[in-house]
Amino acid sequence: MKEKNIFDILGNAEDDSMERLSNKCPEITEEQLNKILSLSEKKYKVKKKEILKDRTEKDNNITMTENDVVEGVERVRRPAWLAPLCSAASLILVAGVVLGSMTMFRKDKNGKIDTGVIEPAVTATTTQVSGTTHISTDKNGSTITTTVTTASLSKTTGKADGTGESGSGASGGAASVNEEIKALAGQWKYQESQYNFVPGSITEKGTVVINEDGTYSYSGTNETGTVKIGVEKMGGSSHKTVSFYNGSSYSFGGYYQNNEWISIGNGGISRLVRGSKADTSKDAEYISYQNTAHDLIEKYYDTFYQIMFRFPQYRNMNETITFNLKDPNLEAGVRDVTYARITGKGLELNSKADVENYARRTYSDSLAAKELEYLNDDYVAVSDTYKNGDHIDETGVALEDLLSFKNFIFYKGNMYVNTSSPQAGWMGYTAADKPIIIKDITSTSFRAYAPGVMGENNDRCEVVDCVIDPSSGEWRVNSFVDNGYAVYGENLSDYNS
Amino acid sequence: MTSNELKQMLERSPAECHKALVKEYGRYVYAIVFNKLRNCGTKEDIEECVSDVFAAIFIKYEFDEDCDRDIKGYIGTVAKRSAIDRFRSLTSRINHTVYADEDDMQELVSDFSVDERVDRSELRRVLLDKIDELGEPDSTILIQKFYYNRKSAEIAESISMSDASVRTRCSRAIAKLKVKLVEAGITR
Repeated sequence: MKEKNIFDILGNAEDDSMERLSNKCPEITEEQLNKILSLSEKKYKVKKKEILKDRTEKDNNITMTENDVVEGVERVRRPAWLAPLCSAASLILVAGVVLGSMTMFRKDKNGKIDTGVIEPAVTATTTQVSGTTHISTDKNGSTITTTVTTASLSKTTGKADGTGESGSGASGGAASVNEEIKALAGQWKYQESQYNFVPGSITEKGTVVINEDGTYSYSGTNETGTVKIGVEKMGGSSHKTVSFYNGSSYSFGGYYQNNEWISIGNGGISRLVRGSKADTSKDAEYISYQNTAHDLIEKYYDTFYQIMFRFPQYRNMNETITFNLKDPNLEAGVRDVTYARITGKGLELNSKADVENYARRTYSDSLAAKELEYLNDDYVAVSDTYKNGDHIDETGVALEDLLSFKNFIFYKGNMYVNTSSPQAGWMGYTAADKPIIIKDITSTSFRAYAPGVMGENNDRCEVVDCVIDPSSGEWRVNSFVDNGYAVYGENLSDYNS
Repeated sequence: MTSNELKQMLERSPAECHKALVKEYGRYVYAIVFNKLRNCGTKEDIEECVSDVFAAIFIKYEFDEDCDRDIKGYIGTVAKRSAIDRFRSLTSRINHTVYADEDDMQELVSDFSVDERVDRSELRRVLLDKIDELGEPDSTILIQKFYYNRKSAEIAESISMSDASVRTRCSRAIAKLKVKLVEAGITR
């Protein structure tokens, strides 16, 4: 017999009991669902990358040839005794060939007749292939059918007498394939982006030139080779593939999307583009909006009413004052809180008016009216009689008025900002590695979707509406809404299409 | 959500599809994972495990053409397997979370003795039957408080009652449950 919580019995429930328990499961909050979605998306992307990488490696190790013959590379361990045995067998074989040849030469010496027909030294007879089907199985056991159609030219060259004819050229079905390749001929940009090719996230990897004869060159790796068009069946639909072979080795390839866009691989992080799709003339303007949004968001947080965001870049940690203050959130009940001056780092703030002016250069008038009222509750004057390290007795002070929760203090004529919030170490307002998405641009407004950072996690999306301030002509934040990261993902998915 | 709807949504927008899956089955997966991990994992462990389940499901539906299956059944299976895997990796950490403000409440349920030899699945059914007999909102209050370890204030918010009412109803409901369990042969 064992004493325990009777409700522990409900653990490890079988299906019918589980159904009853899940019906009484508390509702999961929107915030919690967003967190779970964000975590799931992260893990899914990592797994997907691994799967695609694994597939690419497999593809690179496989050479498809005509008539459904599959050649592969398999790593095997050979027994140690095999090498000497093979060497001995080879010696015997070579000796046999030499002796046999000598015997044959001796036989023909007196009886050979010259017919006058010159045999070709090399005859490359190329069969017209209209559709070679390769069937392979992916990691999950699904069948992928790939049909490669090659526009080859029949050619017999290099006869022993030094003459040779040029190929007669492809005809029939090959002509249409040639036309398909001709349609792709021209210069393409090879681009890479982890974030759906949002301007500012694109890396140019080089130029791919596709020629009408089916050859290509790629400046990124200084390689040349041949282009092959094929069809791949996935999920019940057919996709036109474009593959680039360096010699007989598959180099890269992907899916034909339209006349200006070939997506490379199926992870969506690389592509070939040309024409309007490759036009980057408007990227600079887009990036300038991103920079404006980034700057405004950082400034917005500098004066945001939560303590963790107060001017982290401008704190002068050489000019600080520390007091021992009451903190009901801690078991000890008190903690040391350090305040720093905002001075000497390109920004100097000495009064509440200075902070307000700073905020007004960030907020639109209507937003300032809403946000700045918080500032009035954020200041406390500390008596000059206290010294650095002193405990300040706050017995009888209401919870929300405790000094440890105030963002600014005035002490001996200077203004200091609280640096000791439990969250004060959370630095960075926007994720540095993710591009801000800009939408709905007009001459006087735009909307930014900024990936937010909380601690070490990129799990927020700030939707920021910016407007032009009529009096100064500068951009201001007009509204600022904090959302789950999924909102960023949704807007990101609109790109690369 | 049917398999066809899921497929169409996946083709249209994977992100939208993922969001819909989490929204529709998040609570279900959470309940299953919680059931396995409630005695050994923290809230974060449970959320991690739930996200593992959804990541596995996203991958499966993206790379497996054969997704004409019972979605809920399939998700339930993945959730159970993932939770068991996570349970195994967590079993060294025994941590049954009890909120400080609920200590008095815990006394109400800890004085039952459970004979390990009794068929646990039968016991589960009897317990759930007896809790259901209490009617709503008492059955939900008891399950959420003692099984899902929710604070009275949180339960109060979700069922639109005051914190004090939840605590009072809870004390009365657990007393009634005790009587019912004794009648059913489950004694101290």
